[in-house]
Amino acid sequence: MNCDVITPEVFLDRSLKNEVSGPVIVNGCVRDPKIWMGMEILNVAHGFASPPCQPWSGAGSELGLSSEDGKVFQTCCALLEIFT
Amino acid sequence: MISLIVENVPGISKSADYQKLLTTAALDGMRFLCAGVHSCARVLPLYRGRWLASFCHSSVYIDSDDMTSAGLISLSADAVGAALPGPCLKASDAVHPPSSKFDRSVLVPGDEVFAMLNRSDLDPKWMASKINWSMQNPVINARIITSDMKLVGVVAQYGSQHLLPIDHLKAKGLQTMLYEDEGSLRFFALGFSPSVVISGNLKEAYHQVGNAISPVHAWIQIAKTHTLLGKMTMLPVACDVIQTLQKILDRAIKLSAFTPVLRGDFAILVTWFL
Repeated sequence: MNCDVITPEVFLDRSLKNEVSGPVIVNGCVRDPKIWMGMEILNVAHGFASPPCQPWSGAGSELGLSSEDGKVFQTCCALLEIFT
Repeated sequence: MISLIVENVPGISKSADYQKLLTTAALDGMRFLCAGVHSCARVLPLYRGRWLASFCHSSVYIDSDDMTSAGLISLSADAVGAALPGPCLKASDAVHPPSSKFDRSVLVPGDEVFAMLNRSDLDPKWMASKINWSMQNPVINARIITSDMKLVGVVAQYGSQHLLPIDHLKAKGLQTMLYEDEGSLRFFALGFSPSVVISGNLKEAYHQVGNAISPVHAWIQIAKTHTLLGKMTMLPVACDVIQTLQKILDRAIKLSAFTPVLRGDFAILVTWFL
């Protein structure tokens, strides 16, 4: 199965034009509102997130929420609230 | 959005910030359900535990029977019908097929890296019990994986972790394991089906692989989540754990059928039927 790798801008544009008919890879930051808007337009019901593990790993920094990477977890959680 | 599955390292639940994470999620209206650490060792030739959790919005009704059913889906010995240690690399047909000596030379660590891998002050805590101090080069011997073993030590920094600051490595340990291949030691290699393309850059490729989640881990939490959701889901789960895991294994790439060839910057696995 092949799918396009697209930017958040293209993703939002295609979502607005109802041109996302199959799987796509959006290469961008989860904090980018264009990704969120595109997902809301598509009425995404279920998500699977794998936030950076280094802030929580014993082999990594273990900086938790003190690091920018650690805060990505909270961003992922906030998605649910926004879309509901 | 109705549900969100989150994957991370087992250590997240021991973090000082863990309760804060869950509190923030609750304030966002999310119910925290079905969390746990799952090992895929009974099914795959890999030691890798992942923390997996399902969040559902508080407006979603969860039936207590569905909650019980979701809790019963697991990778435990009873659920998967297999005991530890589970399959090795060879038994899973997961040994990368031979390529030319030249191709493999890029996977052989330099002398400086070998020296670091043999340092007793850089071994991670989980490796301590594996070191046989009566052997020559005891630390590096504890880092060897053969085809009769499982893969262990898969991290995002694999292959380049030795470049991190030495104080960090002394505190956290150098996780790197090496694969014994026809008498020599090298970084491990993985093969993916033709539909999967990973970076031709070795460091980026290991980063992608080290951050990846196994299909077994992904399935277990998807199955739990959609069992939880009951009538709310568009993906009803007819959940026979053993049958489903067998389907996943049947679809896994069988590396002995392939031969590696170089095409530009990429190493491609080819077989006669492609």
